[in-house]
Amino acid sequence: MSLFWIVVHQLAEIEAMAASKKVITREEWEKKLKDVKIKKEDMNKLVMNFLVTEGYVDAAEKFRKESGTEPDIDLATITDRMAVKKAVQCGNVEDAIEKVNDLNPEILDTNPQLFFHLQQQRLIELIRNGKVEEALEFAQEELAPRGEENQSFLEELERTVALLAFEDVSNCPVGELLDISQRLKTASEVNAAILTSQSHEKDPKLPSLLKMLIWAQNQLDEKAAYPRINDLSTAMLEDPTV
Amino acid sequence: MKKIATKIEDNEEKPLEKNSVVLLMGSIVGTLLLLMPIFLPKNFQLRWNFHLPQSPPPRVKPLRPVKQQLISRLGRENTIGTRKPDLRIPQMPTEVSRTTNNSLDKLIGKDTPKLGHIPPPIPLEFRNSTLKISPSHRNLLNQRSILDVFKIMRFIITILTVSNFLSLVFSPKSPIFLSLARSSAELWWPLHDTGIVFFSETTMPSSASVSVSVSASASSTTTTTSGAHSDLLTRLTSSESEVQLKALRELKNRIIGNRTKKLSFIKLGLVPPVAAILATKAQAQVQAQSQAQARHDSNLLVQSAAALGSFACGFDAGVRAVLDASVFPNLFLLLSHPDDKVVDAGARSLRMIYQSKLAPKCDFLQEKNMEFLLSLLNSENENVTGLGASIIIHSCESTAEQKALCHAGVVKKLISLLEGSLSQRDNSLESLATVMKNNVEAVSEFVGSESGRALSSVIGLTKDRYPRTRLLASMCLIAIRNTSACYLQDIGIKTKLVHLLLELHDDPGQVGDEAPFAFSSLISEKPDLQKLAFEANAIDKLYNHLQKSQLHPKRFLGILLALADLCSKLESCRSRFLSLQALNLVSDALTHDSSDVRTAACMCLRCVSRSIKNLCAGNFLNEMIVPPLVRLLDDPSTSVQVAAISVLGNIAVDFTMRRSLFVQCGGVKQLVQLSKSMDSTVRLNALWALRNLMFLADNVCKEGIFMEFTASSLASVICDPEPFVQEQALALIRNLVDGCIKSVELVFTEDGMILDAVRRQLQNASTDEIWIQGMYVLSNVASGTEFHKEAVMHQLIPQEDNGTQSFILKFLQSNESQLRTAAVWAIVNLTFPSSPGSFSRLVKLHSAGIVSQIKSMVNDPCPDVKVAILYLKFVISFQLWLTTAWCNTMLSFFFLQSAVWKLSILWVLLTRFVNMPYTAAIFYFQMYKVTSISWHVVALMALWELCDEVSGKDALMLL
Repeated sequence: MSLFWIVVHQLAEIEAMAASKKVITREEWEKKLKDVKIKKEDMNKLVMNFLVTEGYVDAAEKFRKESGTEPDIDLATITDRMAVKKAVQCGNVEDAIEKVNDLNPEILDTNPQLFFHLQQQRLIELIRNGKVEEALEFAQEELAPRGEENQSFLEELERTVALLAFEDVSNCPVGELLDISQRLKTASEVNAAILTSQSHEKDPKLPSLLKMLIWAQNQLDEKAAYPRINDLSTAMLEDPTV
Repeated sequence: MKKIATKIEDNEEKPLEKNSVVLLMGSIVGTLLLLMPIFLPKNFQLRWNFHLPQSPPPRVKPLRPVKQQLISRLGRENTIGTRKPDLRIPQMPTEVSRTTNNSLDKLIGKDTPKLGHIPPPIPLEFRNSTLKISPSHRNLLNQRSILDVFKIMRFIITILTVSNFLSLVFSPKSPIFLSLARSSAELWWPLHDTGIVFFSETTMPSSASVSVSVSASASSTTTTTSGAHSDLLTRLTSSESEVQLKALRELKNRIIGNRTKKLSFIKLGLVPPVAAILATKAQAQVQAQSQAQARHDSNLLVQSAAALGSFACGFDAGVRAVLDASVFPNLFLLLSHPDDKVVDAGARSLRMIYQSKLAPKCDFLQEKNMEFLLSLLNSENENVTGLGASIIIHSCESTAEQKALCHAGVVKKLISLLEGSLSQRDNSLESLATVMKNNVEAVSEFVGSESGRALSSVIGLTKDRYPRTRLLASMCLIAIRNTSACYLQDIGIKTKLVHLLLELHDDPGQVGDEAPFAFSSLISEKPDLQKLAFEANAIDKLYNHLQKSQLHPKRFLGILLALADLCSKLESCRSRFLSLQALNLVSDALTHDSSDVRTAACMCLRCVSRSIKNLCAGNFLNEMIVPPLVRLLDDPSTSVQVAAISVLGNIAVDFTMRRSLFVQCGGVKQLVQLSKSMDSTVRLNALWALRNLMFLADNVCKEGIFMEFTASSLASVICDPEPFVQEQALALIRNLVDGCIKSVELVFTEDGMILDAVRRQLQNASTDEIWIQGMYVLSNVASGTEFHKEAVMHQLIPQEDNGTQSFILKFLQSNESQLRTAAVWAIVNLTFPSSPGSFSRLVKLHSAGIVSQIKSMVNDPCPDVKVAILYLKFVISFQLWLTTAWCNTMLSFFFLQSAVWKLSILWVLLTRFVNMPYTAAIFYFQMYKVTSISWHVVALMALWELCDEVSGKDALMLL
């Protein structure tokens, strides 16, 4: 009889162990982290990739000199790309289009959506500057044929032209088109297209690594308690709450 | 005791009773026989001579298995036939067997009759080659068989009356006879395969409809802006290069991405001045002046090349304009320019041009070109290697070219490019797919290279982040799979490809447009993959895409073709397709603006209408589908016409007899018109559709088609210059003459010119298929009346003996079993014993050497032929034997009975044997030998009368 009780007791213990998470202390965790060897060059490449993709030419140039990491793309092309991006961000779309075409005429020829968005941005800028006549003429001549080719373009065009109907454009239902965020959206679209045309990843690797980190931590949360990184900007290890 | 006595009494009484019964029966039979000729209509009697001893055994016994199979295939009740057309086995053409249409196979299948089911034929042997009949002839017969036959005889005689009544029930007009012997209706197989191949090519020009709408809008814009444009023209032709450069830049920036502007500028003639600038600067590059001047020149080159490239980008009108300005060689000059930017611009522009079908082909078989191509591929410049890949994709078509590329080491180079940048990887995948397509050598080189690393890296690329790379990698794998059956066969990779391609359909851009084509090439002709796709809900997914409004024409086209491929073989796919009501969407597509989409919709309908189940239910012959299809027969595009005809042909095989709708729409008239078209494919398909329309049609329908067609034009299509049209025309006639006598008579209008045409084809044509169809025509005609049989006989054995061998002998000796079958059945129908002239025809066939040929074919490897031959042997022997055996039986009966009996039997002989002089003559001859003098007189007189009908030669032989 006593033997039976012993067995039952042991079983209960095992069950309790399985239910409660395994706890990893800070020391253990740091020891494990130290065992992981990461090459300095790889880290540098990651940084360089970020600088290049986001277009920080000067920083990339300095970083190249300091760390000796070679960028996987010609830095000169970054300058061109940044010039385009900047032009869009400043609302000088016509200039941006010319620059893209100088860089690679195929980009806009083979990417009708991007071309439409740039033209749309150009129309928005004309409306913003109050050049109604010019805006209407431009919409008719340049954008209407694109709308004929594609139904979704037509809808976007209608939305844009709707801006002309309002006195106070900042408070109208389509007012967000005039927002600076619309410029940024178009600018990043152009940036991505140029990067793709240069056979480069259009997103830097660092953000996807961070996404992976969060995913991995969430997976691990179900199985163990461990020093977690909650604030990504500081990357501080926080002690597990038991 | 009493009981026993009564029993004895009973026993004694029985014979008496029997006798009275026999007497009663006898008198009934006698009166019936006397009255019979009055009951039966005259022509009926002539055609359907029911000589009882003759008809049942040969008709029923050996042939029943074949018939039963046919009947069970048709799913109808079994009735015993009297006419021979039902004995022919409908032929299944090879094309249909490729469709692997299960239900169709079941219906008109190609399975051979099972010999095991045949009741053992009475082994009569045809030993007496001279056809002489002597009493000793019987001794030659196998004893058991004689017993069998005698059993049948006795049975037959007692049910004389019944049989005569039955003859009414087994009327040849009963529908089952009409349904059995016809040329099979073949459901369509794409002879239009080329169409599918064409559409699945990766490079696809912008569809015609788009350019039409563009030109419409372009004309409106030119009017408003032409002022500014003509200014551009003057500046481009200016002598100052600064002005030129600015103008070029402006031009370039205006046209990039703007199709409308490109078109209007091309119309204004801006391409030639740009080409002129390029030409002068490209050819002058050798004598470079100062550095500033050189930079300026290369800037001009870059701008002009970019402008030309943009003109050529994305639409054919631009490519044509650029090629017409003869810029091609100058652009190639740019590739050796010292300035990288110029090289880039040149390579880009050339690539744009090579993406169009209009670009000139590069002949790889010339060593110079091959060297040039290799230099392009080996270049450091990404754009230049990309150009090399584009040239391969564009120009490599023949196997010889593929092999030349392999030998030059292009495959190795392309494999190394897989490791390169994004665009290089994509280009390399696409070129590899082009080089390996249908080229086993290239595939084995690719798979074997670096011990399979190249292959596994391509498989890895199907998981790539970029949808375009995934698509191209899967296309590369499909090319390998479709070329060599030995690679990529495991279920894992197959499912992966199916799921990947279905997922790529969701891409909103170009990849999504191309995915359906890749999917089609993966599943077409492959039932296993179609099954996998079906299990992956492909039909539902494609249907969901189809439901979206404003579908890009190319994507619409691709999805329709993919659906067509899915439904081409599997009934499960077809029923899923129909249950989703997808038919509505597809029939809407029949009126789409783009002719390619209309063609694809037709292809889709054609594949779905292969479903026998739904054909039987008449699901296709309705107002929603037929009228738009008939309208498409007028379509300006030939490919649409052909596709529409082919759908109509499938739908025409309708078992619910709802063809009237089709006729009401004017479909027959249209088809008849199209069968006289100049285009041989149109002719072929129109005849095919008419042939299917004729299949199982009622007489009214047939006559309607015949009147529309007229005998003379039917005779002329039989003699069409194209053999495959001839074949369809003969098959059409074959279906026409199958069925009731009226339809057979149709071919005898206008002096039987149709039959003459058939004979000419049989003598002059040189393909088995034509012979087969032609022989079946004759065979079907031979199932008609005596007159029809004689006409066929006349065609088979020419009267004037000019020493030429009859063509039927050649057919009997042919290697093609179907041809042998057709020929044998023609003879079966000619010698069918119920018709009066069969014996004389047998004699003629014998003297033409055909009977001896048939005797030598007893061990024919083809079961169809063997069955017919065994039957025929039986008929030939039996017909000879029957006359003697049956006469003797009758005679013995004759002596036993009273004078009344004798008189009634004689009456039977006189009335019923009028059409069988030989049998009658033998009977009288036998009678003469045995009976008393008074009967001798009767017999002699009867023989004397018969002498008119029996020719001297035959009579001599008989005696």
